[in-house]
Amino acid sequence: MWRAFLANLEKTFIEIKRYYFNSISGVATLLIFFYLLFFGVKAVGGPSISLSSTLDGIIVGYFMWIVFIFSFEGVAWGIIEEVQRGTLEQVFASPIAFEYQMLFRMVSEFLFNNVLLALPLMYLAAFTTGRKIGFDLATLLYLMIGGTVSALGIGMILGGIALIFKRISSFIQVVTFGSLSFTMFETRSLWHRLLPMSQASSMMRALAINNTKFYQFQFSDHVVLWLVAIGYLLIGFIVFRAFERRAMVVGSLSQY
Amino acid sequence: MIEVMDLVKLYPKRNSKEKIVAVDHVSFNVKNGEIFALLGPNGAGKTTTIKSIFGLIVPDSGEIKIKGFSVLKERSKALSQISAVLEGNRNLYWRMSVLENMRYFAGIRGKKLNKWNALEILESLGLKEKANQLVHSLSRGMQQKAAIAVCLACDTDVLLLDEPTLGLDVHSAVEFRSILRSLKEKGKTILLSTHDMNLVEAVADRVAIMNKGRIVVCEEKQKLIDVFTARAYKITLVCGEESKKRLKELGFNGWNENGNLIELQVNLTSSQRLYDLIDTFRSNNIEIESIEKEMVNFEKIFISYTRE
Repeated sequence: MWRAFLANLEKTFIEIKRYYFNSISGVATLLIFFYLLFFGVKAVGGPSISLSSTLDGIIVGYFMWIVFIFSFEGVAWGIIEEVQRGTLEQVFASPIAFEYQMLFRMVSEFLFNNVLLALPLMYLAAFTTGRKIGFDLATLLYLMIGGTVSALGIGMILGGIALIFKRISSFIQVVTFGSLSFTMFETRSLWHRLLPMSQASSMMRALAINNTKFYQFQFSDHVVLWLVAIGYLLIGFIVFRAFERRAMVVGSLSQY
Repeated sequence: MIEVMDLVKLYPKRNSKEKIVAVDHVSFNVKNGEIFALLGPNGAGKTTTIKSIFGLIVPDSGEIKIKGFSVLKERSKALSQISAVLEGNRNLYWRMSVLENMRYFAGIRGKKLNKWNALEILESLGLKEKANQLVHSLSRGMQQKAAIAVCLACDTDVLLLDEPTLGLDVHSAVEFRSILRSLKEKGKTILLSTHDMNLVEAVADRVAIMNKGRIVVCEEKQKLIDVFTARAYKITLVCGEESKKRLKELGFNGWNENGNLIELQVNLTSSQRLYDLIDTFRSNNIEIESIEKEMVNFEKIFISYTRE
């Protein structure tokens, strides 16, 4: 298992390095969208309104959303790419189950895309817009991980759908924009808190606005965060397995 | 090494409740250290059989075991015994180097590949100088070798090669045969699915021919060739118009004419004997100029088993 994880980590790094133009343009796009959003809100708010906490919230909220997108899109696009390249079957025939391979890739992408890319990018974005992010980095990482685990569950479901239907880019886009609403929900009711990524985003806002540290959250907040995270991951695994089984029965693993 | 027992695979027909029988009660086994060729025309069920062995397709019924482990019930143990080259060279990451591909595919199987072992494998395939070259920049033949290198990097006793010479030029195909022979010498068991009859003739120990989802023959390659060679003759006859008419009445339809000579290709069935045929010609006043034993290539054997 450990070797399989290292292999996926190395491959993720190699691909980021080799497809450097794609990686750089991805970063540039993220920053451009962020600036559009940030200066848009500032222009609408006008100079008379005190926006300091809102602007910090925008910075954090936007990057949290990016983190989620990276997480669940990575699986689905990964499977589509594997099918197009013709490598899916080879990965599938490993004695280590395919869902674990996907999980290892998602963790690798989390490390490279989120921890090494999105996080520094967030500080860069704050710096270039004259903001200062002074909140606790450990809490930020903790919430990023908690939120990402539930996003991975969504990713597994999308990956399973991709195994059967192959071309699901439109559906991925719908889920991507839909996920924006999950990160915006006020988690007043339990139902809202049970939506994927919702609880993590809510706690993230508390961090951004009040600088709440992870040990200052209520116990129930942590319970919901991890129940939702593990719950969605489990559902993701189960759904993925069902689609995987279906693809193997109809023999459609490598068809595109 | 590989046991396929009573394998059945049905695919649903599009927009219908009917099912297509892709593999129909197929059974065979591949022995330790042999090169076993699985042949068949397009749509015969070879690829479905190969993919079922590699755990990529779930059969409707039957059992597949690799070194005693059931692919269906002990998937992980069974798959750790086997590695494959599927669909020629498409199973590689083209923007990664040969060495990176080897390391990755060994890694996802939980195996550590040190650089020296990797270079040794590449050297045995004549690919050492290309170790750090990206796969997309290699020639087709080199890519095929790289796919084999990845397969060997997984360090399994059983190799499954699906159309390994697809698209290779003559030189590369010839070189590929010697690679397969050297793998066999190293004790690897190889299951080969191919349309390349020259490859089968050159390297296979045993052959199974599939047609319409069924195995129509499973035999040692040499035995098949011997049987066909023993029964195939080229008979040259001296013939006039009257004799041609009689030949047609006797059921002979196709022949080559050369002046007053006729060349007949004859494949005797198991119940026919050459002497009986000679008697038939004699009693019909057809003069025999010469009789030669025909050289049989594997293509002819294949066609005779898969002819409609």
